Amino acid sequence: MGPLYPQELLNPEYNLLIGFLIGIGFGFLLEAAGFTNTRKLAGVFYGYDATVIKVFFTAAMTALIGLFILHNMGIIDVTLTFYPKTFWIPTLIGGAIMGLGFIIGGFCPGTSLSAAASGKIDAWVFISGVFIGILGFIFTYDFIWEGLRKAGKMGKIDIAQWIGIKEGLFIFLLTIITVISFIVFQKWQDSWTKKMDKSDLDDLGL
Amino acid sequence: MMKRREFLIISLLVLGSIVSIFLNDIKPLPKIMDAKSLLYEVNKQGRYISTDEVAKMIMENDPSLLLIDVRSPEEYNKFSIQGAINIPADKLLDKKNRDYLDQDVYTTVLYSNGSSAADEAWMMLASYEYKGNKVMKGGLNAWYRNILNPQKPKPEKLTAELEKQYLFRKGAQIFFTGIQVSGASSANAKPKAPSKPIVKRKKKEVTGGCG
Amino acid sequence: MKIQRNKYINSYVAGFFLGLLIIAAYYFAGEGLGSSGGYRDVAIGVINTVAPEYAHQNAFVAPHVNSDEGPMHTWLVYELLGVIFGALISAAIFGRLKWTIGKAPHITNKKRLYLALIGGVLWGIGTQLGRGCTSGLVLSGMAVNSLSGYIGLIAIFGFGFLFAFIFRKLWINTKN
Repeated sequence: MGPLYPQELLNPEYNLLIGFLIGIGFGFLLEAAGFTNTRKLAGVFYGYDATVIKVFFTAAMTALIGLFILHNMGIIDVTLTFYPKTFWIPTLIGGAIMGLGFIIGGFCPGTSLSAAASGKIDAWVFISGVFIGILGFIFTYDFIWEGLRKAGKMGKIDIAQWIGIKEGLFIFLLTIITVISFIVFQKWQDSWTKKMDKSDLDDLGL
Repeated sequence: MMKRREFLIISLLVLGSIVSIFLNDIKPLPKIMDAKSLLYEVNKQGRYISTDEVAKMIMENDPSLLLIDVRSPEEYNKFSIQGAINIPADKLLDKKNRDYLDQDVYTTVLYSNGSSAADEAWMMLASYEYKGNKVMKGGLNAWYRNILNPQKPKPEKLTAELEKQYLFRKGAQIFFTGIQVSGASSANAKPKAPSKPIVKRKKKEVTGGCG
Repeated sequence: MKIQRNKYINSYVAGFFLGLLIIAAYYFAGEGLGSSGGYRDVAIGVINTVAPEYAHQNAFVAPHVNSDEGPMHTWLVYELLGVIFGALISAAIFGRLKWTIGKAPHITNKKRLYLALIGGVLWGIGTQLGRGCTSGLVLSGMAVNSLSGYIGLIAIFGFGFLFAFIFRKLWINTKN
C-alpha cells in the first residue's frame, strides 16, 4: 500500500530514479501541451487560449478524484503523503506576487524549465530571475520574511472539512464547476480565434 | 465541437466525481492543530512522567533523557535538577531551541516549580506540533517531596508497593543530595548541558512539493 | 521571421496523463509534483557549498542542510532534472528544438528579456513566501484537497487576472 517511500517500502536510490522518470513525463507533457509557449500561458488571462485551463484542471481533477478513490480502496494512504500545511496569509500574498510574476514574466517555475530545455532564451533569463529572487529571499529572510512566512498558520486543513461538507460532495461540485469553466473558456477562445491573424494562430497552434 | 477522446476523459472525471460522493472522507487528517485536536492531544494519556521515573532515568544515566527547566534563569541558577538545561517559557519557540524541542530522539521532560507552568509550556509546544515532549508531574515541589526529602509512609498504610517506592526514593535521595558523599553540593552543581541532538528532524516526513 | 505552425497534443489528454503522474508521484514517493521546491534546494545547495557557516546560521536554510545526503540530493531536484530531459525529448519529437524568444509580436526582444528577469525574481520571492508554485502548491495541493492549494489557486489566478488587465499591453496588441 502506498505511499511506498515514506513507509520505507522503496529504497532511496529507486525513489530518486522514479522521481527522475516522473519528471521526464512531466516535462514531456508540459512541452507537448504547449506550456513552453509563453503566449499560450498568458493567453489564459486574456481568453485567447484556453489550453492552460484545460490541462491544469484536467490534471488536478484526475489526480484529486484518482487519489480519493484509491485512498478509499486502501491502495494509497493520503494521510502519509506530502500534505501542504495552510498558512493563509503568506500563501495569499505570495500568490499575488506570483500572479504578478506570471503576467510580467510569462512563465511559472515548472514551465520555464521545460521552455529553457526546448531553447527559449527568455526562459533561461526567467530562471536566472527565479534564482536571484530565491537567494534574495533567503538573504533577507531573517529580518524581513520570517514573521510573515509563519503568519496565519492553520495546520493541515482539508478544504471540504473546512467548509463543512463531505469531501466527495466537494469533489463532485468542483468537477461540475470545472466542466462549466471548460465550456466558458472554450467559448471565450473561439470568440478570439475568429478575429486573430493566421500567424498568431499558427504560433499558438490553435 | 468536442472530439471523442475529450468526451471520454471528461465523462470519466464526472463519473469518478459521482462515485466520490458515496465514498468516505479521508480521515483523520494528520496534525490539524485546531482547538479540537489540541484538546485531544491534551487529554491523551502519557503526557506526564512521574518524578520517580525521571529520577530513575537520571540515575541510570539514560542518554535519551533531556530535562528542560522552563523557569527563569534566576530560579534555574538557584536550583535545578542535575543535567537539566534552562529554556525559559518565553524562549521556548526561539529558533535556536527548536532542535531540543522538536525532535524524536530524546525524551524531553519539561518541569517548573509546580505543574502548571510546565503544562502551559507543553501546550504551547503541542499547538506548534512539537512532538514527544513530556511534563514532570508535580514539578520541583513533587521532586522535593518525593526524591530529595521522601517521608516514610505511615505504618498503617504501608504496603509492599509503597515500601518498594520508599526504598527507591531513599536511594534516589542519597544519589541526588549526596548526603553521604559531599554535603549538598552536587544538587547545586552546575549541570553540563547535553549537546544539541544532531538529528535529521522528522526523518520520514516528506519535504514537500514546493516552497 | 517565418512562423511554422505549432502542433500541440490535445489539452485534455495531456491533463489526464499529468494527473496520472501526480498520482504516481504520491504513490511512490509520497511527494507532489513540484518545481519551486527543487529551485530552492539547488539555491540552498549552492549557498551550502559557497558559505557553509552562513547556511547553518540562516533560519531558512539551516533546516535543509542537516541531512547527510546534502541539500541537493532531493526527490524534487531529480524530478526537475527529469523535466529538462522530458521537455527536450518532446521538443525534439515535435520539431521545436531551436533557440528563440517567446513573446507577443509587438514586444521587442530586449523588453521581453527584461520582463522575464523581473517576472522570475517575483516568482522566486513569491514561491518561497507562499510555500510553492503552480505545480507544488496549487496542483499538488488540490490533488489532496488541501485548503492551501485552493488559496494559492485563487491568489495566483485571481491576482493574475487583475494584473493581466493592468498589463494587457504586454500580451495583446491593443492597436488592432
